[in-house]
Amino acid sequence: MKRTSEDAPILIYDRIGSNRRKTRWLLAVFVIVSIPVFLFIAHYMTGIVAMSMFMQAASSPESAVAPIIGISTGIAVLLLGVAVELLYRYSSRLVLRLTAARPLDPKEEPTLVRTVENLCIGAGLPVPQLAIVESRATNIYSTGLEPDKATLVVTSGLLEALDGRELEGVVAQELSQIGNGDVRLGTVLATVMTIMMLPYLIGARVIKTLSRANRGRGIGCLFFPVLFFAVMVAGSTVSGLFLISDISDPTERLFFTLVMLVPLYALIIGPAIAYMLRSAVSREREFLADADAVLLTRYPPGLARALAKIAVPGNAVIATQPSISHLWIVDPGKPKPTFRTGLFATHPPIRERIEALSRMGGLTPEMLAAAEADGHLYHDTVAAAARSEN
Amino acid sequence: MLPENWIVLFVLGLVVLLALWSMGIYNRLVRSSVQTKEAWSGIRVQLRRRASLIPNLVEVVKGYASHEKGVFEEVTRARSALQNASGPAESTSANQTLTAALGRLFAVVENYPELKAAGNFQELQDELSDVEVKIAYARQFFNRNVAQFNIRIRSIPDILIASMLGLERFEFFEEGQDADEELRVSFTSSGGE
Repeated sequence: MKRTSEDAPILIYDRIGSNRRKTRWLLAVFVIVSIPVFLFIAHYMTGIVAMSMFMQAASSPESAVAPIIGISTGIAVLLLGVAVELLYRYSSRLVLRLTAARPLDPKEEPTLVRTVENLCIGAGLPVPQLAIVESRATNIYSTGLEPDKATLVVTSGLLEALDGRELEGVVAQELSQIGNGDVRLGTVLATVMTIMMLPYLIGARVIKTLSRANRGRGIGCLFFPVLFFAVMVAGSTVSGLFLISDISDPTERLFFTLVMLVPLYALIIGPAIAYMLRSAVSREREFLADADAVLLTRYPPGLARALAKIAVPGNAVIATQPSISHLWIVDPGKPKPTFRTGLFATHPPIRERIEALSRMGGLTPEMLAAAEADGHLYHDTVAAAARSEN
Repeated sequence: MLPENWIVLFVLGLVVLLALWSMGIYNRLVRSSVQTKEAWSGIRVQLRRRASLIPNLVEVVKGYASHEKGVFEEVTRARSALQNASGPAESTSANQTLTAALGRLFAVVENYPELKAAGNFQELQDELSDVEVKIAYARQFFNRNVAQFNIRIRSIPDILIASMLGLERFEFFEEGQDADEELRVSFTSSGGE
């Protein structure tokens, strides 16, 4: 225990500060990257940009274009402000809705309630509200902007699969994230990412309604919207290039080139960069929360065993929006679609996390193997149950 | 600008910076001390809960083993000592006395199988062990705060302000020898739980 407590500040209060400083630059870049995207979305929503571009194409006097763009930007910023305020206020409710979580009656799960209460005493945190997602997946997350308004969400599968010590480990990990301010940051990032992906989400909803195909709410339902916007952006860029070649005035030409590139940036480049930055922030914090959890439970094998069980491919997979995947304790996505690894990965590889935990002591290879076997057993049981239902 | 003026401004600026800096340290120390006191009140809450469970427990056991007066008196005495204890040192010893007395009470209970099986006795026992776990967690949080505070008031530069204010070290809240043993074992043992 000494090892971990010496190279890190002892108290959670102090760590909040250092943690924030560490990721501040990432957040600054995130804001810079995302502002144009928001402006575009807001413009797009008001339809003013389309109108001004149309008018410009019709008459092309620059004097008339500038005020229109100015006014539309003003309206967009205003709308954006209202939207951000509303989303900030309702962000945890948004996240809870996106995962179909329902409040948990304390009498339903006395063990969980007791575990949470005890760990909160140890961490010096107020007891969060509890919610449950009815799913066989084994996963857990928390949301909320302040520790006293936080909600801890577990899946029913997690409660089924983990024993007392393991549950203690994952709950401690979540509580550490609440205490470290990671949950606040994660909730804000989730909200921002949800807005950025709004065109895709709306597109997905439309396509879903049209096709009546039940694609779930995972990453798969985004395929067609992405394709649609990619074709749209490519089309507008290519046709724009043709139009620009006719313009002789260099200033005007530069202006139109920039205008033309806005959709490309707002719909594809911006969200992609933001997605990577969000993932980088999230990865950074996962190790810290793991170490903090051990500081709280004083029992490294608990969390390590839980992670080994959860990490059995398929166990943690839960239908959820990609914009909030960083909130969960392990990536809720399907195992290894290529663009969830590397720069896009929201979590460090589970092997590395378990490795780091095993360096804290107490964990034997046999324990780990047993936990993995249990995880596989759980996976098979779930698969069998799903087959018999169909 | 005159050189003297410049020097005066420079010195003034330094003084202001120094004042701001000491204010920062002062605030940090005050915050740390208040947090530690609050963590202590967290332990007090759990200790009181533990004490408040004792009368019921004694009543239930009395119903089956009324002649074991010596043990009841001992437990009751330990309970009121714990309730009246103030400060970590006194509470530590009062809590340990109560733990020892309860140990003897439960040893008596071993001789009465129907008491052990009684629903209300088991409930009380569960509640008692829950409180004990909570005391352990509260103690962990308190001791971390104490360690933090004690390190702070003995480190440079905080020690300057702390000694001016006459801030003293907080005492740790100990759970007794047995609990420490258990903690160490849970870290070094390789077997599953």
